[in-house]
Amino acid sequence: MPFDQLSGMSNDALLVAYANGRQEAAQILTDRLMPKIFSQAFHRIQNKADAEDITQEALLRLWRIAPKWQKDNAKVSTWVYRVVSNLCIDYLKRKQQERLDLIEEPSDNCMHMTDVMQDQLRANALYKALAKLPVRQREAVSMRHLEGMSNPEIADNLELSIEAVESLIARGKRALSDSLQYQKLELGYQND
Amino acid sequence: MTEQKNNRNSELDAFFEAAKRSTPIVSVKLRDRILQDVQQELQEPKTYILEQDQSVWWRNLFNEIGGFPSVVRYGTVAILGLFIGLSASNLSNLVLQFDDSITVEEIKFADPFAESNLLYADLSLLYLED
Repeated sequence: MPFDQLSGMSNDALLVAYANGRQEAAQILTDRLMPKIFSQAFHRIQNKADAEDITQEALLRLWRIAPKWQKDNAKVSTWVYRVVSNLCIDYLKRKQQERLDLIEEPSDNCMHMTDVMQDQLRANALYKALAKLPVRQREAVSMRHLEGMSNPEIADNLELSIEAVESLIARGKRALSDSLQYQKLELGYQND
Repeated sequence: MTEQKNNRNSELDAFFEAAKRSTPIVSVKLRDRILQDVQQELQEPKTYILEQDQSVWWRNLFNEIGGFPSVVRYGTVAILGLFIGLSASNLSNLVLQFDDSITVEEIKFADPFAESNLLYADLSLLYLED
């Protein structure tokens, strides 16, 4: 089967193709899933190097489960989402014990330094406010507004109805807004 | 009210956008590391689990009745039942002794030919024929 034909296949079909020895299928899956996994991991742990390690580990687990993958399993993206979620929880537990500072250095050198600093401060404030939300609300808001998932995709990942997801996001955003209300001036909101 | 809600949403959006902008770009090396894993995994021999093996009827039944502990329990009960059945065949009489509601009439076996001498009768019949 040519490479072009493979690239039109679903994630599940690609995983089966990989299990049958097609290395190109894994390349396409990597290109599709790696940015999403990294984004999900980074928004949870805020550490680039460790988010990359989690991305690698999640995909390694996917390659290993490929020969046993069955049609009635969850969708590949859902399965990977759950694995990443668990890896991030384990990581945060470990780090909590080690009491390490998880703030990442600003990465984009092209932006003006004050803009970078302001973005970093706002991002950190947002992550802190997110951390105060109940788990489900936090996950739903992160998936919708940081990882850019659609409501049906979130519903699929969290095993909830679309209405329940909408409600979670609405409540989460309200709580976030309240939590960030007091920091607006400190974070340079008058400039926006 | 709606205006206030819109303001809140746009304020939050600024936070989300800032968080997205400060998300670092995935390093190129990560892709290489992942593809190295792919190659290594493909080279390793895999143990495939046949779907057929998992759905053998006796294995399903075994699991349905509760697995190995249940099978041991059922086996013990069966052996105990067999033992009681064989070793205490008079158990039914024992039950009758304690239960007054059941009346039993004992019928003695009666042999209608107990008193007669069959050998003599046969011989006398032979003489009569002669």
